[in-house]
Amino acid sequence: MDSLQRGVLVVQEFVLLGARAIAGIFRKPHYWSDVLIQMDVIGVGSLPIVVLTGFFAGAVLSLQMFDTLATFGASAQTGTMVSLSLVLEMGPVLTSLMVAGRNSAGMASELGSMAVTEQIDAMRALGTDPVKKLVTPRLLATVVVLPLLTIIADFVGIFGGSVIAHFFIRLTPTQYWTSSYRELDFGDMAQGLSKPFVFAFAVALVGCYCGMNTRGGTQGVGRSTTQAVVSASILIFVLDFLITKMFVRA
Amino acid sequence: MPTPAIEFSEVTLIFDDVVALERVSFRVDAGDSLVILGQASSGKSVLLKLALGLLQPDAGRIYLFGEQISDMREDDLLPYRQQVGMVFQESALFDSLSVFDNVAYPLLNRNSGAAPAPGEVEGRVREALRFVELEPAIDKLPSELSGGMRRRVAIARAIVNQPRLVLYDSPTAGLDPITAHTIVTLILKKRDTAGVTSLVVTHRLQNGHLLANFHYDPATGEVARPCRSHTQFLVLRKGCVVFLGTQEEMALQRDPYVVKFVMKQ
Repeated sequence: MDSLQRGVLVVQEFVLLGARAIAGIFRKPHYWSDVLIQMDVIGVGSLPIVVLTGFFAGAVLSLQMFDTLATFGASAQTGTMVSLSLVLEMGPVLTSLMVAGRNSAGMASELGSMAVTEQIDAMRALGTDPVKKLVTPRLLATVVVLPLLTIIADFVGIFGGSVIAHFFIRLTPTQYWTSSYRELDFGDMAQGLSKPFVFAFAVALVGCYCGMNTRGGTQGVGRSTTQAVVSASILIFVLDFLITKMFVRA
Repeated sequence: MPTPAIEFSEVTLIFDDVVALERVSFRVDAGDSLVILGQASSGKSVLLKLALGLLQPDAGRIYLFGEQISDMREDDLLPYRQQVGMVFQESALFDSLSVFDNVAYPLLNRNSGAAPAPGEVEGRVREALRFVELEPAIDKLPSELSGGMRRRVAIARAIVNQPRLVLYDSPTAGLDPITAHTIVTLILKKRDTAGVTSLVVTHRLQNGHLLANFHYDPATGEVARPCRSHTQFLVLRKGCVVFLGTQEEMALQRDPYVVKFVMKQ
């Protein structure tokens, strides 16, 4: 099989896995307890890194934007620039990258270990559909949790920007927060929230696909984990471009 | 002629360019045993995975309890798999679950049919663990068990659903002779007390000898002669069947591979 055929096969298998995982949401049996466990692992577990990333992203944006805007005498618009940058781009992308690094890798290594020790075959042998049992709960949990984490990251980021604005730029909190939310409209919110929703599919499905197709023992698990993080990260950037293109008329 | 528990008809499976199985045919009637022998990479484990529909053949037909499963969709196969137990080579226990949860897994994660009541689940798990004499280990994690104990938990998990057919993939591989004897005794016990059909992949002819010549005596808890069910032997070489028949017929074989395989043990 040449590399082109192999590439087409991987895309086909990935799409089929996604379709089966989505179909699993609507078909019995439902593994709700697994969904809750995964929401805890992905959501609560990722909260500290998402909060830290959001805070410092907002803080850095605030400093950079002030520096640029001051050149045009528009430093009072720092809040607007920080909030727009965070809600539209930085919040969804950084949060998804953090969750991809943490959870796509986690899914790939967990499912990969199960694959090489025949636990996934055992699951099928015991009459359970492994896609429904393992992939659907992870997908569902990521789709619910990632937009929520993004909202938290956006808010913490804007707050981080306000701390910098207050202590270093000497903007009043009222100035900063008023300019922050005044320019945000429904379209910005829709774009900012549709991104993590779509990225969640990439994060969960890439992690699960790499994990379930792991071959070659512990070395294979390591390979799958790396592959999952790299592929999910690249896919996030590609999807980000496509979604932005849909919203922005350029 | 009664419906066989499992039947392979001219089954061929090819991975990329490597022939894993080629035109394999056999049938095993309900309550009988088939001992599958062969060198490493001769297709033994692949044969068991085909029997359970975990792999689909490239050619030929496989019948499980009279139903052709070789072209069934995954979802349609799940109810059939619930009637079959499988013991994997390395046990394949779920390492994040306790022994109880591992054995209860087939009861609590049924794809079809009503789930049993919680009290019934515990009763059946304890019954299965008592069968393999491992009830005291009910709360342990697989990592806390020895290789033989893991194999026994895997047997308990395979039989908790009261299957009609159990597939054993090298159940004694890597075990000391005493533990291996215990495992084979459990296979005999299940076969002879519940009339379960058994397919046993093994490297050790001694295991086949026990299955073909002994039965489980519930009074003594030991194995005793004679065997009360029919046992066939199937010898695989590079995916091809080189022998299929009884132990007596195998002893008369002149095929160098079969002779070497039998004489070396």
